[in-house]
Amino acid sequence: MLDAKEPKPPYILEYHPYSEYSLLIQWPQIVSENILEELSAFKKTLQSLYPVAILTAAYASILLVFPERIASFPALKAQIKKDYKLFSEEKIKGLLDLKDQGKKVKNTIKTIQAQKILYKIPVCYEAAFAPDLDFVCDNLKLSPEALVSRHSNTTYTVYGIGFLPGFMYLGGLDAGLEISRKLSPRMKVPSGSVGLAAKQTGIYPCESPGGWQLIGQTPIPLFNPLQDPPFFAEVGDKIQFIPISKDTYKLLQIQVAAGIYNIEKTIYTQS
Amino acid sequence: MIKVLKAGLYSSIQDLGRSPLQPIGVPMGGAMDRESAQNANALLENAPEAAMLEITMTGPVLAFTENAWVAFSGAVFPIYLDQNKIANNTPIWVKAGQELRFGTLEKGVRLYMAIKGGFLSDVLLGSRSMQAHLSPVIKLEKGMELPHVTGEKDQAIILEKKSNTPLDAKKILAFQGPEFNCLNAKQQKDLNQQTFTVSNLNNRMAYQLLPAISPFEKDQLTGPVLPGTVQITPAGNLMVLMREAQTTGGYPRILQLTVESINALAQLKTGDTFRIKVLPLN
Repeated sequence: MLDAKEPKPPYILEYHPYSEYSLLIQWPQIVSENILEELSAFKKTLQSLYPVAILTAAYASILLVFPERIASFPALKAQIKKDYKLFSEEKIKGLLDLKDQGKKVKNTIKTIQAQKILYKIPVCYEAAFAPDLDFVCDNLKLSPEALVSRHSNTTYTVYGIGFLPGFMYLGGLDAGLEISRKLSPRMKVPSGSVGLAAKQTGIYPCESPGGWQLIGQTPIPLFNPLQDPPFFAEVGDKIQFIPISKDTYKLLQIQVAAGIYNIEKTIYTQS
Repeated sequence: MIKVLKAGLYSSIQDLGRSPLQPIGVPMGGAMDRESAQNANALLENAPEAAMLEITMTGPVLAFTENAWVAFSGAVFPIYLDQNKIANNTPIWVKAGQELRFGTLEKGVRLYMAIKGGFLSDVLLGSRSMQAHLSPVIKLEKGMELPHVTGEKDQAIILEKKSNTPLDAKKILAFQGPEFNCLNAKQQKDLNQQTFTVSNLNNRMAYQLLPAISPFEKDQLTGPVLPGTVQITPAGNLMVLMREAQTTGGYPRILQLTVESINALAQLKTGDTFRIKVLPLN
């Protein structure tokens, strides 16, 4: 199912009553940059239409949770179907406008329509921070330099946030870096560890047990319960890893402790 | 404040949790049996979000250094205020210097102790609930001091009010989940006819049930889940997600417990048995 031929928009959405308080909206269940992009935009639309609802998105689903019991699912489904139709038409109209009006307007509208942020996360891949690097390199028949370059030359997409507070499911891993999980998980993976598991790469936002192969560590706390907001990224945003030395790692640690470090971010524009 | 003289098995400060933060992966958390928790607060005319104590399996020993109104709701323990036995579902006036202790659990699993005005432990991300990966401590420890609003004798209270959560539910009600229709006819029948047992893998995050139904393989894309979601593993094990469950899951979601049944399950313990009734949700 995950390798099904990718459908084209407009998508046929499925609406599933999930609990007394919630409705699940599903796009075709595949990993697709196009679906994620539309889903992120529609999520913003829904949030403005239903400000009291809590919307959780992952891959090709949005769950809308209301504070009150849903009085009628058929009525809510019909309403959201209508919302989606209007959203789709406006989007199509937007695209037509773009064609007619030339490049300058195109850029403006593009920015408003789907402003995604690219976050740059510094990662030290040196041995002291990468307990599984040797194993992974042996297994994938790569030099450490090649591994680091392949891992850090990719722009990853945030497909979901879950598993732990602030844990991002990142898509876009180089196929040459796919490796299975450790046979027995570690009881304690340090906060900030960067790992590989099958088609995924990710960062542990807090200390936790875990079975991923650890190839680096970031000195930046990704999730800080004492900060408002405690977490920076949204589903649909982009992540890039910036290789740093051990010395830079220590320097950034000091900046973090002093409260003067801010994660580097830019507006993401597709090349 | 209240001094913790003995911690008991697992007691923690809980309120209604952190539901607005689910989109960034923070579990909802909060009281496991919401109905009993809300009943305890209601007896003291507290705000619904006032923080209380959730007591699990064995009780702590608590010493009061200030006057307080307290109220208990949920599981049944013999509760002693100094030498006097006190009851659930009615407000109790506690004077500074008195001690509270608990006998052996008689019925249910989780008991809620509300305090007039609520506990005043630290607020983290909009809630006082103790929670794994977030709070510096996740349960009561010996020697801890729990700050609370000091009680006044003439404060508003309600004399009697009961929780609607059953303490020995034999039937758990659930709606069909998004992947229910991926089960074959035999598996669907098993769900409705099998008697399930709470396994020893049960905590605030999830309850695993026994026995497994037949193995189930499905390529499943990670999606949102909620407390009460029943996932099926490839081996056919049923995992019921509870209040502190993660916010996304990669196993098929075959059922969603009703609000009342999440509360009812939170009062069942290892070895308790029940049947599942599957309802349509339209």
